[in-house]
Amino acid sequence: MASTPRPSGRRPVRPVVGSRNPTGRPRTVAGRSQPPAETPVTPPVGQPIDPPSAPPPPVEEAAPPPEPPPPSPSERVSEEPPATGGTVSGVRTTLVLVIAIVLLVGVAAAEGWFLWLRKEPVVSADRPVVTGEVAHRAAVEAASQAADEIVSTSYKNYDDQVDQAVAKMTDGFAAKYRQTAEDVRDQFVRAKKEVQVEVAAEGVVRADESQVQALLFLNQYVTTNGKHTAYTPYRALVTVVDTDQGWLVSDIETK
Amino acid sequence: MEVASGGSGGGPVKLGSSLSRRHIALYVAVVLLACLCVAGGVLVWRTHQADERAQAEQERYGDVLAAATEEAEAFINIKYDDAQGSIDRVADGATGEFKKQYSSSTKGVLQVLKQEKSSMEGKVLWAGVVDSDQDSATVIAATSGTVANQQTNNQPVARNFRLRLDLVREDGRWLTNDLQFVG
Repeated sequence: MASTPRPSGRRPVRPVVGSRNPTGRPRTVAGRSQPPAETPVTPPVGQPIDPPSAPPPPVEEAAPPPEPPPPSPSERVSEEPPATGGTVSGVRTTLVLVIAIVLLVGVAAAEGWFLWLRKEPVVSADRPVVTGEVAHRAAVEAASQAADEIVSTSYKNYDDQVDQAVAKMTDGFAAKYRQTAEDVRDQFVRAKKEVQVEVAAEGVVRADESQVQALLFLNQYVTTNGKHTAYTPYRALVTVVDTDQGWLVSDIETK
Repeated sequence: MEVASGGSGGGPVKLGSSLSRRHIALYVAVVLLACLCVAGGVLVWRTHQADERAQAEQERYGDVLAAATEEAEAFINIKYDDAQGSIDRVADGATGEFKKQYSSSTKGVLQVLKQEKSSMEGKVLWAGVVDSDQDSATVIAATSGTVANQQTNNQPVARNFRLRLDLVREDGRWLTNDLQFVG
């Protein structure tokens, strides 16, 4: 493109404020690294720099836009700082945002750490029950019903009651119970015994999410051949564990 | 001139646009992270509050069981040669009607203890909370021990009890206001 020679003695035409870059001069955009003021600027050959004392002639809006003249060193000095400031401002904004992100990530990580690594309380003498009331009440009630079913039995349907009882037990405890039930079976059936149990009182001794120990006061009534023969009050510590089949008895200790 | 114009005009525009897009992305990230942190903060605060409430409730079970155990053991450890001390230990953990009844029978109890040369020893095997709230609780306790007196020829005989204690909280202490044998 041929450049239009600038008339000698005229200063470069400055854009009118508010005009859309009528001169076609390259815009300075924030973020663009322009050479700083101290960067040596070489005036184009054949375009001597006008003395600053020469007053600029008035510029008419309607005048055809001249080719962009090279800015004088003085103009560059006066126009480039805003461009450099915008760049610095942009970098500062980026930096602030990145720092904010880093801080927020740190806060989020701390929150996640607190929630993830929060220790569940464990059973101790100071805190023997570390579950909610609803949970341990349900477990104690399950222990009470299971104890009733396990202890109450009759010579009339001894084997069926053993099967019903082991359904309330864990596999390990069921194996022990079956062995004991088998050992006393013949004597129990021959004597035509029946055992009935009622729970006089129940309370929670220890409890966590997976295991609960319940203290039961049991009143046991034994009849032999249809005749009431004995009443025995005793205490049982029944341990139940939480399984897919609900609370199952894993141990019964009586005294 | 053309080279200079293109070089100093297109580059900055592209660079500025890129920077703006980057800022927008960073602003969005900051806002999203801030929302996450606020939600996480609320969750942490609620969890912390729930933990504190749960801890207070769980420690209440421990306090109630400890007080009931201490009172039950005081009740089943009575020695004729330290009758007053034995009774004082029971009275120390008692309140209300139970304390009145126990204190009113002190004179008769002392006389019987000395007359029978009675000694009762024991400990709580298991104790369980039947019911509990902030100011009252019911505990059952299974005890195991012995009693020796003239009727047993001063030989210790097993005595196991099933006790039911009602407790109330007074001035930060759990005190027994009723004690019953569960028949």
